[in-house]
Amino acid sequence: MCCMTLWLMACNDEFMLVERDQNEKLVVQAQVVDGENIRLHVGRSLGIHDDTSKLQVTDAKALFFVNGTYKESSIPDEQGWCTSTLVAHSGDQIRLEVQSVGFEDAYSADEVPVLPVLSNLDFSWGMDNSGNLRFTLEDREGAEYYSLRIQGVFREFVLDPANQLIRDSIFSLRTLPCESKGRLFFSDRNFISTGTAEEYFTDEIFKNQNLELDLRISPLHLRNVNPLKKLVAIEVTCSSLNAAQYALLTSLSLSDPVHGGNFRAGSYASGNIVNGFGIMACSAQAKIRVNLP
Amino acid sequence: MTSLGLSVNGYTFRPAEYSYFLQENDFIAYDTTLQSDNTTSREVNLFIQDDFKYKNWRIRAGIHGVFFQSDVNFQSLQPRISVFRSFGKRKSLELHYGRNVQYLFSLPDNANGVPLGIWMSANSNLEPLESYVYSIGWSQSFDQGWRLRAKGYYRDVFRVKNIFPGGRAPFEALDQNVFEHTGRNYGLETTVHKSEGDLSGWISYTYSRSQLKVIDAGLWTWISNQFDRPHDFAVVLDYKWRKNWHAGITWNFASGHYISAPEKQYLLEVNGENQLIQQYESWFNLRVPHYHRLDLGIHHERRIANATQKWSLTVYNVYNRQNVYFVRTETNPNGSLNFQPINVMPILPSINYAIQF
Repeated sequence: MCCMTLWLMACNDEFMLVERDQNEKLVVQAQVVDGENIRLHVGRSLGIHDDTSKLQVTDAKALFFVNGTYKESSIPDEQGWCTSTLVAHSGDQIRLEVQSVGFEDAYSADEVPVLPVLSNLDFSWGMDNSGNLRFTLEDREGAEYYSLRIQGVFREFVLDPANQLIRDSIFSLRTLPCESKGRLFFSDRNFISTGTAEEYFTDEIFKNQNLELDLRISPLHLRNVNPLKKLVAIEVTCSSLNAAQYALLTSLSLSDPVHGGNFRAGSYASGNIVNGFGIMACSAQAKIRVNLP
Repeated sequence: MTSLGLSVNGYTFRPAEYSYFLQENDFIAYDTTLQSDNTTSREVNLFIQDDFKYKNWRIRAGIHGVFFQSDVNFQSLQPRISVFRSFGKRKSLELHYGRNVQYLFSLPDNANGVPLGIWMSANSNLEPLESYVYSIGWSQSFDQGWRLRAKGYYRDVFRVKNIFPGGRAPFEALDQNVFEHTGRNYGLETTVHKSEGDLSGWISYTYSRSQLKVIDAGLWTWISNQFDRPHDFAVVLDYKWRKNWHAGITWNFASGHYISAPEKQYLLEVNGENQLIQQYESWFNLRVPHYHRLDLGIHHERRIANATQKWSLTVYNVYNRQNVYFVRTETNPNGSLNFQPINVMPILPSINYAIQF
């Protein structure tokens, strides 16, 4: 039967996609985080049939503007990265222009969102060794899009071959997939698609109000992770995002690299770079932590 | 004659199911099957149709009333009317108008070129597909069994559904992953038949378009839908050259259909990891190679007592055309992407023996 199937199926020569737009574009990825220096990476796009070892741009120049005023320029290094001396602050209007010979100038402009406010973090163990995590997210004017990540801080024990303790001071962060009632947050879909158990959401249902979150963490991810790891703290990280970053993350989560196999390729990455690909991601990050006994 | 009918149908759909398994060291961290919720729906269809004749005119008119229930209720009235006018015994003209509302539809899974669809029913997220069709046809007979037919049609379609390129099949993100477009289909079908004599058969050619309306560079424009195959040509001939012997030849040609393929690629750092983005820029931007095939057959028929004995020697796909059935994507070591067409059914000779009583 297998031989019959192989005989019946035969491969043709490959066929090529004729791109509608033959021009390649600059790919700009800027990280504009409240309280941090602006980081930037510049690369280039290629056609789908091209060798991807040539995605770098070596002669790019980036110009930074804050609230309409030119501030400075930076030259990315050989890997395409540069860090500005500028520190972004919530409410700043950031404009970025990137130039490189042979490419159309790419630019983007957006505002750094306000810092989210997290409070009332509480953790308790359930009867089944699951974890119950509660906290409050205060929605503020100027923040519409959020990402949320729950991480466990694990203290690791390293044993020598004779099972004698030699080190116990290694700490590691591990993202904890969570569940919530009604599956508004941390549904299986997000766990599968992003692999990071990071949730992206808008304030549509709690605009300008407090969002009380009550999450359950499966015992699978807490006590049964590894007998040599002990959960010592839980961190909640919430970032308010600009619309473009939210669109990028959600557009990527709609793609399905996990289940694609041989028959599916590609994804759609939303962006906010004019005349180019990529994103100027503006965010403000808040973090709270609860230590466990 | 008036015809009246009633049908009641029930449907259960399970649109998607995934298995997921994660093992760390010897510890199974995650082992589950995820599936979308089953959806059930019911359809009650009532129709009435009648024919009216007056001299050389004949009118066939009818109306379908449909009540469809899923998580919400839909109702529709779908009128249709055909008008026939004969000119003598050999010529006739046909006009047709119809409205159709479709509550069940197949969402083409965006796997590159795999001819799979996921059946869904209309619900609160997916409104039914609606279309209006207009057609005009002409038929004329000639001596020695020749007949010519031509039919032109135009169809407006609203809420054509497609899964976003690169998106996964409908699961939980159904409303985010399914896009609706306005579409149109139009074309001209022509056929020449010959039904008498030693040589019989037909030759047909159809020019047809199936398009979607999308915004491109800020302007509304029409693009090809998945099965936009403008040219379809077929020759089917049967020749009786000796008593009990006849031979058949069939040749088909059809334009290749479209798939959605990524056009650009670049690196982005997502969640701390470099990710090669293979970016879709448009829907249905890659046409697979055209389809064509030649089949030959020789047949011998003979009466034996009260039965007919029939021998057939046929060769399917005589020149072994490797028509594309689906497209596999392959990433080369240098990162470039290839579209590898896969065909099924190469040349297939066969011998057939049958006795008919």
